[in-house]
Amino acid sequence: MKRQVPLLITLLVGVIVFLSGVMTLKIGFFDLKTVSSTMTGWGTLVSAFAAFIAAMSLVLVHVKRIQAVKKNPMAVINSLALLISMGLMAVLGIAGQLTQGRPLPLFVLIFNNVINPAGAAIFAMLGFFITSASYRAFRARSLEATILLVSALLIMLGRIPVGEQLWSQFPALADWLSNVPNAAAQRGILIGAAVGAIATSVRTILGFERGHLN
Amino acid sequence: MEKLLKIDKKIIYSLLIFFLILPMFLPLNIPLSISSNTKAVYDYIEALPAGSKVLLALDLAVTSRAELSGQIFAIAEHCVMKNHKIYMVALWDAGPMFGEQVVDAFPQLTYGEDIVNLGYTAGGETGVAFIASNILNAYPVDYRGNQTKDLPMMKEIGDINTMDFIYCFGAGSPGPREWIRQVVTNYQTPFAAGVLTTSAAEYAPYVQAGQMVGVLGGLRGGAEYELLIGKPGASLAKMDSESIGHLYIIALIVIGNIGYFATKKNKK
Repeated sequence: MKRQVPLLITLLVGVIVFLSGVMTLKIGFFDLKTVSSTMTGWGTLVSAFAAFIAAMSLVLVHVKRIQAVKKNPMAVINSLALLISMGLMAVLGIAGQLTQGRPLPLFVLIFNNVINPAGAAIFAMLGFFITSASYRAFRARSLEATILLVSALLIMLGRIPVGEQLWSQFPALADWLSNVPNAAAQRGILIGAAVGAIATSVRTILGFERGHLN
Repeated sequence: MEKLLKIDKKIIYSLLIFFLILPMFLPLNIPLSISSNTKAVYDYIEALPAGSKVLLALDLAVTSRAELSGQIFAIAEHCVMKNHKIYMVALWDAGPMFGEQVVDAFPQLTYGEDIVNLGYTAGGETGVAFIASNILNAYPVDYRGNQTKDLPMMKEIGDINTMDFIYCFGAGSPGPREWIRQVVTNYQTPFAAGVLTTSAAEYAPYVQAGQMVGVLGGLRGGAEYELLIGKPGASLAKMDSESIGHLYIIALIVIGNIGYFATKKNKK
């Protein structure tokens, strides 16, 4: 029963949602599209609970780190900072929803002036890593590496305004690289991935694939 | 020549910061051409009749805001100029906060009549399918706690076909691909997207297949759109820094290869 019921639910939901995409069926009160839409709504509810579980899991991990302070004292500072900031935003967010149905001004202030700049700073660090990595890794060691290097240089020169000023054909070359060889390769990958996804989905719906039960 | 292979990281990073900041004090005003993708998106929104319903999907996190915010405000500004109704949804949790920034950026609009921030939907691709089947069911209340059935601009809203155009600001998954699979494939709603520069090339097959009107790539896409609507903004201002930064990286790559081949020759 432990495995049969979830497998039956998977089969039922999978078949209904699949059929609603390819046909219209209305028998009395039963409307396939409405049933499918309702089930999809349940899916979003389950996902919302999954996000809550993820948050709880994060809290547990960091509470354990704080409890193990003797093993790694420095990690406690980071864990405390995470738990305090997470707790503060959670309290502010929930308080806002309960009192006025929208975020409190303090929540918005912290988001706009702390979280936004911090997120931008984290993403900006990538620029430094890419610069250093490009300098060290982009070497014309072989034919394939040379093709990669030349393509990367052409794309970079084609995408920046100063490249067009250096030679007016750089943008056209970059567009050709993007729309012809790149698109061909991407198309192959997309179709291959889609065929794989169809095969996995059919196996999951029919119960041959049971990874989602673990 | 071997020294060319061993430039200290501190020097590399310091010069990068210098070259990125320099154009902010000494603007170069390098001319910018408009790509066919950006023009296609602009022409489509421009051609929509006044009062058309445009759905903006804010599927991005705070880390992507710096790159995509120019596009967000430029596209929203264009919709405002054309008197289109703006409906904002989000598949990422930070999306609604950016939606509020868009609402605040256009105080002349009446909330609930011209613009609405419907909020976040969990579930990724399942969430997209749910939104597509019935927008009112997916959002019984908006992000501000209003009952959506009481908002004037939500009166005629049903499934996704009631939208005239969808634009997704995507920083990953869920994002444009999920909208294409669940909405464009099933409902054929016109769709375009603005993505990170590194992801733009991945959407070439969708544009060529006609599933997307166009795709705007990162900062440059935002800068081009600002030029098209005649409202130069933050994205355009940052293009000089992007140009000089890229030139610096190209110079480093060339220096590295000169050092590599010179060292290889010496060893022989």
